[in-house]
Amino acid sequence: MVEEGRMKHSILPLISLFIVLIAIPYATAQPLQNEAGYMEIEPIHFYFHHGSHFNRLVLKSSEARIWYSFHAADKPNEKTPIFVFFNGGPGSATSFGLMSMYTGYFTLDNQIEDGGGDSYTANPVPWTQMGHLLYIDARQAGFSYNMMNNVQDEGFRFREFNSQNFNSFFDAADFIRVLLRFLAVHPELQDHPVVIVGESYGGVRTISMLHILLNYSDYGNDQETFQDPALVDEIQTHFNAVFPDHSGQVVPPHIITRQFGHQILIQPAISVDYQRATSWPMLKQPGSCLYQIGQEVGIPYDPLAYPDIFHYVQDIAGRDLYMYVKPKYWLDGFFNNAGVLLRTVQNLAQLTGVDVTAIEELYAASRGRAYRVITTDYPLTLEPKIEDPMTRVLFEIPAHLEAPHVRQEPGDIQEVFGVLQPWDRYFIGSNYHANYAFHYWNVAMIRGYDIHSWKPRYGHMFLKNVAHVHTFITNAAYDLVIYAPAIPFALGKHTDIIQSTQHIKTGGDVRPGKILLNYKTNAFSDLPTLTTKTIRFPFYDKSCHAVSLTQPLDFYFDVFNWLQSHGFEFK
Amino acid sequence: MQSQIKHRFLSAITISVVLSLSLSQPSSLHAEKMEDRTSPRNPRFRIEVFGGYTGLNPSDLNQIVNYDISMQTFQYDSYFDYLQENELIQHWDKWDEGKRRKITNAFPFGIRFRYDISNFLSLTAGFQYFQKINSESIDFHYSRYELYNEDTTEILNYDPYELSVEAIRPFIGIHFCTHLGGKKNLEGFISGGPVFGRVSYTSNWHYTWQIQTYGWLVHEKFGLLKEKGSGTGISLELGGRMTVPLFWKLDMFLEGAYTYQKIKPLAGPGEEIQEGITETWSEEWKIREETVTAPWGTLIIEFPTNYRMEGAAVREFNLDLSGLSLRIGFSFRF
Repeated sequence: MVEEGRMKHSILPLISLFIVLIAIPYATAQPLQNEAGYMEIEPIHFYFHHGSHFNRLVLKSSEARIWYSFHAADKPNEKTPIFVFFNGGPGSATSFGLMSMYTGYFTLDNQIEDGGGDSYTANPVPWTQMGHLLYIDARQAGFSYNMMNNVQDEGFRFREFNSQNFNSFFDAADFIRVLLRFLAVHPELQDHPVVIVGESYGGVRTISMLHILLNYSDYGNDQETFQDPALVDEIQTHFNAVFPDHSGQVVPPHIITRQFGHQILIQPAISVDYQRATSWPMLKQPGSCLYQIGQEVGIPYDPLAYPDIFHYVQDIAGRDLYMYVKPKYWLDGFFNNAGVLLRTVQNLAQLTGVDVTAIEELYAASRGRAYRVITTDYPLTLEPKIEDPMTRVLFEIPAHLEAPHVRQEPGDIQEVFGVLQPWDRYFIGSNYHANYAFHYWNVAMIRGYDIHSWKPRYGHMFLKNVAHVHTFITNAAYDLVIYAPAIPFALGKHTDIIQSTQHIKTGGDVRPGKILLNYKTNAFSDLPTLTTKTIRFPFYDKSCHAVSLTQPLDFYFDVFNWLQSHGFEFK
Repeated sequence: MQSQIKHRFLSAITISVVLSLSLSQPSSLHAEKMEDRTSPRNPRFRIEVFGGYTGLNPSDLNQIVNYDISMQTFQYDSYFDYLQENELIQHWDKWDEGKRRKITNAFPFGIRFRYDISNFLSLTAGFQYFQKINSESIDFHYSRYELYNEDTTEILNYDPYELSVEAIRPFIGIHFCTHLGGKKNLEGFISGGPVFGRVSYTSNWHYTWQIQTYGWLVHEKFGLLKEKGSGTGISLELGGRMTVPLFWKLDMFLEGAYTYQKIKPLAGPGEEIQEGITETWSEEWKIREETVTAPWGTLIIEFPTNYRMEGAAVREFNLDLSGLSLRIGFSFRF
């Protein structure tokens, strides 16, 4: 008995200790929560070069607070993918785009066809069923804002809207930084697969992000035109954690794609100069949709009379370039409605799934050095007329449509978070000044660096990314801005890399469609065995530019099936 | 290279001889009996000071000017030509003030102690020093006239754009004298010793990009690149001179010489400041090559630097301070 008692006495503490040890992980492991807030990006030094060290263009960015919203997956596990969403512009917000359009728990209602909806409704196909969602607003777009000293000086603000803050490479670097920093503070997610979902200009951003991630050492050793050594260090630190077998080494692309192996591009800008060079001749062919529009509106399309297709469709026929079966500005109406809704705190809380009043950086008191615009009254009249039709459509028109809300923000956001300084704003959907910096007031471009977002170099980078990354591109029927049927031909114009391309329109899928890329031998010296690659290219017969808005269920299930075919397991 | 040195040497000798002969010509008609300098009445020591002009071409150092000019021409002139040819701008124009200057000469001065062993032979020891600083303020204005957008002007200002070289040459030498009469001497001399050299390059630049119509400053940058180096080499000088007495124990002389002096390796500190970041280094100077590739062309160019770069240097940096000199001086006997 005494022995038994002693045994009990000695075993009980051990059992207790065992239980405690077992319980600790469960007690401390918090289920993933929705999050929204800001990721701070310090001023970054980076440079462009043509091969001359002392003649490089060194630039230093503004300090930035980049807005993100994280939606935890419904049924997470250790392999649940993280979908990183962003829209385009450049200079346009994700909050009023993909985040508001049938991806999260709530969405705008696409049935309201008068240009938007006045409330958010439950999304029948939240992507949280497939994975975690991370939405990011680009620098100076949506809720993101920059900070600077001498912020009250208009001349200083004007100078910050330039390539040190706005160019396609640094823009991609911002997104990589936000993503990696988010993962670093969520160690439980750090090695999860990441699926990048970019819409419109988001195509160029995806291309740049993946090219930097897959070839990261070249962005710190002077091999690439854009050099961001601090980013390379940050990527290496991330890979050291995710791929410990390669810690401290340059991780090869085929290892990196274990995490960054999938891209979903919604009506993407890829190689815009080539896309335009192929799509406009196609659209000018007799029998194209332009002739159909001409018949419907009673103003026949004549390519000689209307050499600018966008001018004809929008200004003559009065149709929406993003959805040509609808009146002009139809899609912009959705975006603008979302932008208005987001300035009401309750809506913002509903959409993000968090109590946004707890986000300190939203308050006016935290934004003493913040700036969003050059001119406080946002007149949009000082800049010269934009001649490039693509640029005009992508940012001048949306910015003008949105301008009244930028001048005087609607909703109760100012009441809740305080009145901002005249050069600051809570929300800008398409930041005209940022966009202008991407395209015009850009010292890197003026100094001859071939980095404009429409250049074929991004197509070149895309074709290399595709060699490593599984790719899904939407083919929307009614989008004339990114006329998807031209994409295979545009890619084929990269004749230094591509032997031929083929648009395969049939197959076993519900919405079939593939692009077959036949690469030239030794198209890339480091990929000697590369011959062919296939891109999933489903056709959305009722869709506008924002495919998730017009065919949300079809798009969701296509992505679901595509990812499942690549080994993702969804419950 | 060898033929160049030979040519310079012959030129130096010729100049020296011609000068000496021209100075000695009148007095040779009235040749006087040679004075015995070695006698106890006459002093055997002299102190001499001199100064003059030397032609220089430190080509490796001067390559930095070629490099800067070529790089700017490539980055601006060639680029704008490309834009204009491809109808991406209407046209462009350029205005400049000041220019980058190479080191082509210096004004050396020195002091020499001399001991006359005999009437025909003297030993000397001394040093010669020179410093040459080419410091300029330079402005370049490039205006581009756009097809659609506002016309803009880019202004590049360098203040200073500075290239300098400095050398001190301690030496010992032997002078061979010939009496020409009238107390005039014709001499040939050879001297040699180490040479200590220093170089410095400074480019303090300011770039602005302005909209012509509004005068708005679109972008502004400041930068500084400073590289220094020092090293040791050997020097050898061969020359001739004519000495004429002035009064009491003071003589005046005119001499011409060719100096061979090369310094390598050179090493020193460097500093670059851009966008508030200061990078410093201290390395050996090398000649390096860059291949600059832009949409409008490719430029392959060599340049000197002490900045450590990826890849092998093209070759060693060689500070060649050889050149012809013409000097005037005064000699005091004691």
